[in-house]
Amino acid sequence: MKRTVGLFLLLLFFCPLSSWARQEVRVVDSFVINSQTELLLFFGLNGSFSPQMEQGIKNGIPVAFTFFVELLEQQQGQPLVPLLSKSFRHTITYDTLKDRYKVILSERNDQQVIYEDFARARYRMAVVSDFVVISLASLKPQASYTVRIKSALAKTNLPGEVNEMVTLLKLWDFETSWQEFSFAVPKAIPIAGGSQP
Amino acid sequence: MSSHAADQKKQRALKKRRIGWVILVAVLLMVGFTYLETRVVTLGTVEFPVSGNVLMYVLINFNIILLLLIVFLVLRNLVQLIFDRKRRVLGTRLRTKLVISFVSMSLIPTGILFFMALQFVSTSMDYWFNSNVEQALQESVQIGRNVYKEKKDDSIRLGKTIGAQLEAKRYYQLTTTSLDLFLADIVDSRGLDVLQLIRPDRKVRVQVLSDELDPDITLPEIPASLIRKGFKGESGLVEIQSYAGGELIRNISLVNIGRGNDAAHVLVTSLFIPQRKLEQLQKISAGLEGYRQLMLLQQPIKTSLLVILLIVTLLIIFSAIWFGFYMASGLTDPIGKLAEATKRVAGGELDFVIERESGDEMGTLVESFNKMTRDLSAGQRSLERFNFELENRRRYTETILQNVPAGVISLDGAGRITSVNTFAENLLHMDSDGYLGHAYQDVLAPQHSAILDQFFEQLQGSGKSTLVRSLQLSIGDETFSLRVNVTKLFDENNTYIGVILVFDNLTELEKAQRMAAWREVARRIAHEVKNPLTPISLSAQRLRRRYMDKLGDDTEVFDKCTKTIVSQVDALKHLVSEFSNFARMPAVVKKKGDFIRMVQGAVVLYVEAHPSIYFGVESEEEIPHFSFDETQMNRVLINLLDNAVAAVPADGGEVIITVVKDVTENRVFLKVADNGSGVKDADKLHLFEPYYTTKKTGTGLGLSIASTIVADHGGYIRVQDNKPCGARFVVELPLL
Repeated sequence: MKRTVGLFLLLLFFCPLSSWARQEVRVVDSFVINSQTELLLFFGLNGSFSPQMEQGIKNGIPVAFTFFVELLEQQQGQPLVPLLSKSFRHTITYDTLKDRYKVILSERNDQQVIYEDFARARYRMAVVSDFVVISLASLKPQASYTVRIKSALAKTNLPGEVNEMVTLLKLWDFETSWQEFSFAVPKAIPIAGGSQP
Repeated sequence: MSSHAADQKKQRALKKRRIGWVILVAVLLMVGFTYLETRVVTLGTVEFPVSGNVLMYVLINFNIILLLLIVFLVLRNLVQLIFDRKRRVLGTRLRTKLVISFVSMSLIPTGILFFMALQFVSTSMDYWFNSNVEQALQESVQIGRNVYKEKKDDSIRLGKTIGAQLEAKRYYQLTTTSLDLFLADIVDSRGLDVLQLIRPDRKVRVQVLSDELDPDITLPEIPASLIRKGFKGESGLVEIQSYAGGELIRNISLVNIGRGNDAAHVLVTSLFIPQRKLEQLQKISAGLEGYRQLMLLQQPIKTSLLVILLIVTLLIIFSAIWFGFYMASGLTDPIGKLAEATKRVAGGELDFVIERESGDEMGTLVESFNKMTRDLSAGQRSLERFNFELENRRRYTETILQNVPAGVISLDGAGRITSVNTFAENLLHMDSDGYLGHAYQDVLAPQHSAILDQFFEQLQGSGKSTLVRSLQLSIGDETFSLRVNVTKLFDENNTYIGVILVFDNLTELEKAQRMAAWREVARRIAHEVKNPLTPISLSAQRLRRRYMDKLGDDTEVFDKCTKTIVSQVDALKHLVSEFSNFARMPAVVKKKGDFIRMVQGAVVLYVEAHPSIYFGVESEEEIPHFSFDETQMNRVLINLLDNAVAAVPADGGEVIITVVKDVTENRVFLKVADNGSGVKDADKLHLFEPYYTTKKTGTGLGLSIASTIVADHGGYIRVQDNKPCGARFVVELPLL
């Protein structure tokens, strides 16, 4: 009896009260290439925008995706050694008066990109390109590395009054699983690696 | 009250207090967590180590768990109340009523409030999200958009017009100064805010600001991509840039001034939206956005509000129920204690004290109750002491009554026997259990009942309160001589309440008095008669010796007469001797001896002498040796056996001698029973008196002597009827 009650309370404790439709969001088309000096990462998000989210954006709710990138070194017979961990954010806002979308890219020193068209803005939000992972000098020749990528919807702040009213509401939410791929550093540049979507 | 029960009570009180604290803490925590929930969402940019809204869920779920805890505790109390009612625990009915009252008082308004709030929220939400409101807001935003559009269109139009003007005037020879003046004139006349000419090398050739703008504030740079597009000749290039709190709507267009490669310039015409106006536009925009967000979240907001409302309602209800329980127990506990205490006091536990827990009216009531029990206890102790003294007195009187050497029987006014003392019980062989409470007519033998009737009649007739009468009473085999005193009883109000009969057993006393008198008579007769007998006898013998031979023919008469004289004198001597013996009974000399052997020795002689009579000796095996005067007792036995032999028929006579002991009374009984003619009741009382005989030849002294000897041994002799016929003499001796 006690165990049943305990289990019930535990379930109750961790069970969200309400949630909007969950969606399957995945990291796709991820790969690395190198410039002269740096290792650059490219990837995109698939299924990141739901109709409710789009409606919310058009109603002035800012939406931000947070991206997490980790680089780990593979060693023979050893567990992966983390080399670095980075995160950055893409934020989209809609200006009702000017009827245009502004995407802020934190990995590019908060560069603001203005779009009249929502499709383009949405594409820009879901795509990461030319992200500098690490300088090539930091990589060991002929060593193998693993890149791990994950994305999650950053906490959405509703307007103040709404926040206080909707204490029990959980807005749209997603968090992808870790997407990872490995690459090997050749004796000489260029290097490249990637994963199939 | 046992210590175990007291411990249980203490533990129950402690538990109750603990539950009260738990509920109070739970309610406070709920309030705290609810506040935190509202704060968490407004913390803004603070990053939590947990993802999503986990923290919010934790807080909400904590609230729900706390609410469940309160619900559990309240329900537990409810169940306990139901069980208490079933067990008919004191105070539960009142507690139930109070709880129901409190619950009703809280439930009804809270319920009404809840449903009203529900209705209000529902209707208000529908009202807030009325389509007319959205339409109005959209129209407002459209006005704002039109402001931008107009500014854009104006800037493009002005760009084209001014560009054409510059190209038509062919001001390629104009100096920068003259161009400045020209452009300043255009700015003034066209209502522009900023006019710039940018050279092919991307540097500003001329810049003119209107008077409304502060020349000290640097203008924002035009993005290079736009300038590049402008030089390519693209039209409709507009850029909105923030400036001095407001915004600049800037149009970029190509204009050719002068000749050669340096003729191409970019003309930037800018219109300024001041900060105040921009803020107004932003407010309009924010209004629509906020409205649309609310509309987007209409259903979740409604649900959220309802859930919060429900939680708060439940919290109020269960808190009210709990408060009801608390108040009810605050009232019923002292009442229950009072009721329990009353029960105990009623059960005789007068020293029971209730602990005073409050200083209110209940406390005063408890104090009054304690004072009452104290007074009751003191009164009871006093009463007990009085009763004890009364009981002692009664016992003393009873003891006196029971031990007084006289029979006492009391009857109430209705003739019911109310008391019989031990003496009367023993004498009359009464069993008081069968007599007490019964009318004497119902339980006494008719002849005895008639005696009492006669007494009461005489008492009534005499008009006195006391009557004294002597009475010969035969009970069973015995006859008693009683002196009866019948006295009327009156209470303190002189009301007749019955009679008391006090009687003395004068049987032995009268016997002793008669014996003493007879002894005196015997002694005197013996003294007076004995002296002349010897001379008479001697004279008669002398006459015989002297004149017998001389008388001749008359010898026969003479011989007969003298012989008769001598024999009668001898008989008189014997009689006198018996008298003398009776008068001068030798003192009893007791020594331990075998009583059975003595009996058997005496019987043997009779067996030999009277072969036609059966003599049987029956005795218990173990008759211990005890002190008695063997000679005297032998004489007693012989007297009894003589009587028995004289009484039984010549043929078929039977005399049974029985010796038994009564260990409990420490007595030996010698019984001589015959199957003779028996003793009449009238003779029984005088049988042991001297000269009382039923035999023709008896002296009437045998049984008197036997009685005297037995009395000298501290025993009794009595005569009873033998069943089926004959008499039985019983000699009772102390077994010493």
